[in-house]
Amino acid sequence: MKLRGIGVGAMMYGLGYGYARPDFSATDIELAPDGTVTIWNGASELGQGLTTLLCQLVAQELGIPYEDTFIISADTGRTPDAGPVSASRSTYVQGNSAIKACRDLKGPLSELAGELLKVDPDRLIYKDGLVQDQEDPNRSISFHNLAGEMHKRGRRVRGSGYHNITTADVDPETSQGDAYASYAWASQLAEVEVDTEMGLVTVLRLASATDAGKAINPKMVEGQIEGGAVQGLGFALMEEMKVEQGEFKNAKLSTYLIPTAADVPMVEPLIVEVFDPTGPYGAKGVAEPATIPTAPTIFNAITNATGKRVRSTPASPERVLRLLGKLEEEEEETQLTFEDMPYPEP
Amino acid sequence: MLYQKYEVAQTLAEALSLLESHNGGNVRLVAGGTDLILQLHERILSAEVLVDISRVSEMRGIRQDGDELVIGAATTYAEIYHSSLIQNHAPLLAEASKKIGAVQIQNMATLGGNIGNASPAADAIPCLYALDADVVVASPNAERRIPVAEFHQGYRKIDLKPGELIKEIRFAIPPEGTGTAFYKYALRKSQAISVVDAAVCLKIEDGVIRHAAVALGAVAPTIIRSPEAEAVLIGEPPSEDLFARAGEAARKDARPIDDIRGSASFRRYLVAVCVSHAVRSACERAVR
Repeated sequence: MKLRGIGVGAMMYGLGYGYARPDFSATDIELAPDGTVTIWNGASELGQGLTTLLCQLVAQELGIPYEDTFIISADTGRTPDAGPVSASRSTYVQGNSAIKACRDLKGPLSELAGELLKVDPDRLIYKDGLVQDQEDPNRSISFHNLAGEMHKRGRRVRGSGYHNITTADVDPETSQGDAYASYAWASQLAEVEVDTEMGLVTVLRLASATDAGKAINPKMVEGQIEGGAVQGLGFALMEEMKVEQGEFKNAKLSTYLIPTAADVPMVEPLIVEVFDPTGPYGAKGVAEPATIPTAPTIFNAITNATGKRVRSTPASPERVLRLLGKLEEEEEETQLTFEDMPYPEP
Repeated sequence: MLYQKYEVAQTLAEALSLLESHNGGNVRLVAGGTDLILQLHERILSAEVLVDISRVSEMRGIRQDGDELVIGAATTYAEIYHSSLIQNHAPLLAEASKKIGAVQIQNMATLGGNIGNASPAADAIPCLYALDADVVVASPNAERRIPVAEFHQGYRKIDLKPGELIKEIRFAIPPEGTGTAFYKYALRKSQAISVVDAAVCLKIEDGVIRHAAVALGAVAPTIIRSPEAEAVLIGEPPSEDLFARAGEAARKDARPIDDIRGSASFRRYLVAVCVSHAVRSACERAVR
């Protein structure tokens, strides 16, 4: 028999390290005479698109084409310490340090542009490859020419940004307090099919709504949401470290199974944008928030389909069959001792 | 080093003489290498000399020889499932070949290698058991022909003497009215090793099953046949009830163990599921 069920899962997540743990990033940038900008940042590109994102932020902040930015990334001999790529902090912390580096460079840039245009430097905006008087757009100089003038006159062409979101610790007595610099929210919805003869759970479709603050690059956010759902699906249905006497018994990808393309349903990414005043252009991290709700979503859908609750991950076929009373042994013991939340009838 | 010397044979005679010249040394044959190289890496096996037989034309391809089909030992799974001879006469073998590893593996791995590796979880071997296939073994002076079930003597143990190699696999073309099917149960939808699999070859005459061969994978030290399931099937007309009873009967022949992919009780349960599915498909194909 094939049973279908729908489940919902939700989460909140503290971005960065929180709890008074050091949480900072530094970025350097340098302007070349031709108007191109090189970025030095110590954070690693893991395929999540961080180097693209940092170049986008710098291009946006300086009003220049993306193609005019270059990045030197994660080279311990040359790049300033940006802290780790973890805790969904890269856009939030490293992105902010890149914007601060641009603002540092804009000091001497605006000073010279003000001199050349005979405008108060505070009135200048950086847009579409121009540095212009926001009150009189005809008074402008191209960013390209300004860069050349900066070099000819020996002005400062480097900028440095340092961003620190290290929070205060919580109250040692009560553990109360604002532990993180910011928080993200996400929820997911999935429909599953449980094959009661085979014990196999197939996720038929999954929608994932993730609070990105502001999607600096919507395609990359979608990629994070979809990738997060696939990881969460593996966590829910397949991934399990089998340890016996301290020895990891399935330390190979032939025995530690993760989803293949054939196991993954259509994932509908829903980007929610709730502007975060502390983020770069309002952005937050989306990496872990897009992964965390998936397993509870799928588990709730299994419960909705079968009326029974899998109590530990993964909901492997063997565990599902045992839950359904198909195998000889009783359902295995788990650590959970409290009563389940009753699942509401539709 | 995984090995000291790599020899490439161009002909069967050359392969046999290379084996003979290194006789007494630690020599192994390599075709696709998809099992062997992993096992050398993990120090499960060792080898001083590897003799590559993947280019030996006499050991490649699928042909008809009278009323038999002949599959060269160095024939890849991709070649097997693309073969119209296999698709027409032994579709279960095409089905199983498509489920082994990924496309990259199917392009490299060979049927003879699968037999030589003698894993009880091999996907193609249950098909050969169900087809009552023979393994043809060559040595410099002679050839032997052994039923595949006898060739596999125990857990990863085969009837192959030093200086011999697996040359080809032969089986009688199943007669009109035969249906064959392979059913694999794994823990994800592709690229996973079988937890249990079943291969079935049966013949229906006048609405009644006259011949039935049911083979099971990953439930015993070797691939096994299920005489219990076969006895249930023979003489009966196909029905849902019969498929379920055949599955239940097959459980009596399974001797599964607990391992990383599943417990013995999980496997005992799956035997019935896999056998009844494979029998149903085979019956549908037989009457078509």
